[in-house]
Parts: sequence; structure tokens; C-alpha cells
Amino acid sequence: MTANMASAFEKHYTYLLQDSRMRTPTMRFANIYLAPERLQQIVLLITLLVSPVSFAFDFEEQLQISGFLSFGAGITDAEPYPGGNNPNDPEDNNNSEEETPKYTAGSGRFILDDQLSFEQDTRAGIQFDFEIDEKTVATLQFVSKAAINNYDPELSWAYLSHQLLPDLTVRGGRFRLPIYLASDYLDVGLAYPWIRPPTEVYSTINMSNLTGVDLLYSVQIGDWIWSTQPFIGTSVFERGDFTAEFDNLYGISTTFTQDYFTFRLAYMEYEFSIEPWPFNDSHASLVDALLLVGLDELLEYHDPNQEITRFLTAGIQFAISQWTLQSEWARRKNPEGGPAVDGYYITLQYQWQRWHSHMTIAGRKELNEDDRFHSDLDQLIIISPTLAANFIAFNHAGIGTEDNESDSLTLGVSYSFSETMIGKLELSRIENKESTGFFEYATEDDINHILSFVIDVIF
Amino acid sequence: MNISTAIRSALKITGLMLCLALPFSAIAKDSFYVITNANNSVLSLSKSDIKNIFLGKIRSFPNGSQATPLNLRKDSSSRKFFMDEIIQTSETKWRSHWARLIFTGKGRPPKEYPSPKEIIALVSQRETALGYFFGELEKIEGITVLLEIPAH
Repeated sequence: MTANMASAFEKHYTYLLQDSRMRTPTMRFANIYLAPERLQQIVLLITLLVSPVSFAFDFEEQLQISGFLSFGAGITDAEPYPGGNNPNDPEDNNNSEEETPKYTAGSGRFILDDQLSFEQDTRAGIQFDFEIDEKTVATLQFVSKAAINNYDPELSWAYLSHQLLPDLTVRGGRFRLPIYLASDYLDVGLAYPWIRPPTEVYSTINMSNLTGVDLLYSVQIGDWIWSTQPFIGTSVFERGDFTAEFDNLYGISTTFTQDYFTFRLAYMEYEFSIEPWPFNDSHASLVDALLLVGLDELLEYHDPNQEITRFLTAGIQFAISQWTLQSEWARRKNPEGGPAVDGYYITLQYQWQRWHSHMTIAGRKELNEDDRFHSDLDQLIIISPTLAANFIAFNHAGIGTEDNESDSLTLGVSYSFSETMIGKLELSRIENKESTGFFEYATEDDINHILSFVIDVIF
Repeated sequence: MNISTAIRSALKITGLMLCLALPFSAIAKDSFYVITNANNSVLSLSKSDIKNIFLGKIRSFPNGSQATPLNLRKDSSSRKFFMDEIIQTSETKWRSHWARLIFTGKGRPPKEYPSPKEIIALVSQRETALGYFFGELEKIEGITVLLEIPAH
């Protein structure tokens, strides 16, 4: 049971990071929040800084500005249920307030409920690529999302890339963690078929930016192109009361691609830690109480500090005439006893003139529920029911809903108004297999639907 | 070797010579040409090599030297032929392909020029340049034809 804490804190981390109702955290590296008018000033400043390097700054030749915008909304048909039916399920809380189930997509933050909401799927971003010389480019990307910080633009990427050889580039700075097929363009709706990338896979690791260095290497072998991207760095999350660190993070992502076929594999490891530990007073008293009843082992078991999390993912894409088949699978293994989760999706797309349609099936499974969860909890319940209840409550606050089992089917249709603008409509049927699935205040075996639409634009 | 075989080979050779002479002859028909700078040691490229370079999947010629693809604007008829014959994808898919790469920081689309004239001029000046156009090949100094596809 206690081992769940590792994931709990990781969840807690993402929850806080992404929750719109909390003040946005400050990252250690260049997390600057900007009012729109400041943005202009910064661009001007950068332009001035870059100019001397290339004597006469040719705006059109040396600066490329690209942007994206998504405007969309969604709603669920989820109905409130009383809750509290299963005392063994720490997430099955009594729902006396009759709260409507909220789709959180495993992120721990609110995404959609029974009111039409524009917050989740509306965002905009702008990217500046400054060509310093023929081989060196500085990139800045600002993203503005309601779901994260109430549309205040945030500097999400800032890196320098240098081409060492025609097909070998080194990058340093802050960039997107390159683990999934669509990792690099998660915010750019036009670049993928769905309204949001399948949660079952894309939320297995929520951390998205990395401060560090990577290498991009490609080589042609016969008809195949092999690309590989080793990366190393850290990710830090600070908040008033605690700091979560993802240290010694390293991994490699590798892709084989032929005309119509792509295969991708990525592996990553990192050390997770939280400072201070215990991180607040109620946690401290819980730790003391556990020590008092002689459950030191349990304590060690639930301490995520300095433990290594491993992550493996694979993806394929196969395109033939009007059809595209795409699938990804991901597995996360947390430290000793922590939850191991598997996620997958399969998407089949069909294109007819300006119309595209897709069908996506996806699922999330927990691999080691039995051995990490109930035995410890039972032991604790026997020793002290009160302590066990505290523990459950404490755990529940942090855990979010990520580690629950869920299956979904999504049907989508989209229309390209032009090469740079697409409208999408999607209906998802989501079935909770265990506990609350990707919902808060839902129930086991509950089936809910989500209807959403979006307009994606790039410029 | 009997007589009929001899005649047949003679015809073949003549045919081949005619084909080679065609682009430069008075009755020359328009063709699609992929060109590079004459100082570039690359002498030919396959369709898939060209496609990979223009899609940013690879940034070098097969001999390992840097390749700088130059594109024509969307309103150009050469571009249409190029998209159909070489890239084999729609403008929409081309655009979303590049949206992926731009926002990945893994590449930027080839720069676009208004007409074959600019492409030919740039290719004759830059050793790494790779360009294309559809039209009649006049005698131009400083370029090498890497691939030729006659009009259908």
C-alpha cells in the first residue's frame, strides 16, 4: 500500500503542475511568465542581441516565426453516483455532495465534466527560430494555456542547436522530453489525428520538459533511415512547500523509418526525490505514527526518494494509400513495490479528400496491483484502523486517478478547411475497469461518454 | 549473331542515342529535372533519396556531404509535378509533416522561391544546393542533372 506513495508523489507533482486553480510553479530553469506586451519587448531584445552576430540582421532570412492555435471544448454525460460502495478501494469515496464525475485523464487535474468547458482544449503557442549562423539555431517557444496558467504565456522551450555534421545535431537547453511518437508536438493539434493524444499512453509519464542536452543523429541504410536521440538532463519542480526533482534522467529514443513505415522505441530512467521529506506536518505525524507501531519497513517502502523509475515505450506507424495505422505502447515501472502501468492505443485513420476519420481503441492496465496494494493495507488495518484511514486519505490526496484501469473507444471525424486549419469532432466511450478509472467521482465499471470539438490552426 | 538480332541492337542503340539527344534537340519536350551544383560530386539521385532530403528525414547526399533543398512556391506548376511524382503526398500532408518537424526543433522546411529561374541561379552558385524544375533544359553552366522525368 505504502509503496504507492512513489507514484502518489509523482502524481501529486503533475497534479500541481497542471492544475489551473493553483498558482503555477516556478521551474528552476528559465520559467518566465509573460504578459503579452512583454513578449513583444523580449522578441525585440532578442533580435537586438542576435543582430550583432550577423552584422546586418535579415529578418526574413534569419528569423522564422511559427505558431499554433487550438480552440475547442468538450462535455461528458457522466452522472453523479453515491460512492463509498467499496471500502477496500481507497479511491471510492463517499460522494455525499453529489459531485459529477470529472474526467481527469489520469493527470489528476480537472479536464472535463457535464458542463461544456473550453479550458482543456484551448491553447496557443508561438515559436521563434533565430538562425545565428548556417549551423546554429536558437529556438524559443512560448505556450499559453488556460488549463495551466490562465493563458499567461510561458516560456516552455529555450534551446540552442548546433549542426556538427549534416546529420548530427547537438541541442542544449530546455526542450520536450522525446519519448512518444507525438511528444514533440503535443500542443500542435494539426500534427496529429486526435483532439488529444490518447491518455492511456500519453499520461504514463506526465513530465514533459527536460533541461539538458541531446543528440540527434540520422543515417540512411538502404531504404531505411535510422534516427537516434540520446538525451540526459534533469527536471525540477518547485513549489512553496516542496520541491520534486527528477535527477539523473537519461534515455534514448530511436526510430526506423521507411517510406510508409515507422518504428519507434524509447527507454528512460530517472531518480525521483522530494524535499523536504516528510513534506508537511500531517505527513510528519503519519510517519511518526507508523514508526510507533513498528512499521519501519513500510516507511522505507513508501519513501520514493532516490529510487529509480524505468520507462519503456514502443510505437509503429504504417501508411498505405488512404489508410494509416498507428499504435503505441508504454510501460512505467516505479521503484520497488510502486505501481507498474501499461498503456496502449491503436488508431486507424482513413482519408477521403478533405475529410479524415479515425477510430481509436485504447487501454490502461495496472500490472502489479495485488502485490503492491492490499497486503500492506490489510496489515495496517489490523494494527490500527485509524492510522490506515489516515494513510488512505493521505495517499488519496496525492494519487490522482492515474493508476486505474480503463478502456476506451474513440470515433473522430475531421475536415481540413485549408492546409493550415482543421476542424475535429470526437466521441469517446470510456469504461472504468477498476476503481474510478480516468475519472474522479466515478465508479467501477461505469461507462461515460465525452463529446468534444476543436479547431486547430498553424501559421 | 544473326541478322535480325544485329538489326535489333542497331535500332536499340539508335533509339538510345535519340533519347539522349532529345532534351537538347529542336523537338525537345518539357521534362522534370532535379539538379545540383556542378561542383557537387553527386551525379545521380533516386526518387526516394530526393524525397528523404526534401522531407528533412536526411540532411545529406548519399556521399555524406550537406544537402540544402530549395523548393518552389505552391503556385508553381513545377511544384505540383514534384509533389505528385517525388514526394507523393498532398500539400496538406506536407504542411502537417513540417508542422511536426518545426515544433520539434528537428528541422525547418526548405526555403521557397517564386520561379525555376531563381532555383537554377541559386543551384549554380551553391555547392550544397538541390533544386528541381519542370521545363526545358537550356544549356546552363554550373549545374548537374541528377534525375530527369519526361512529361507524361
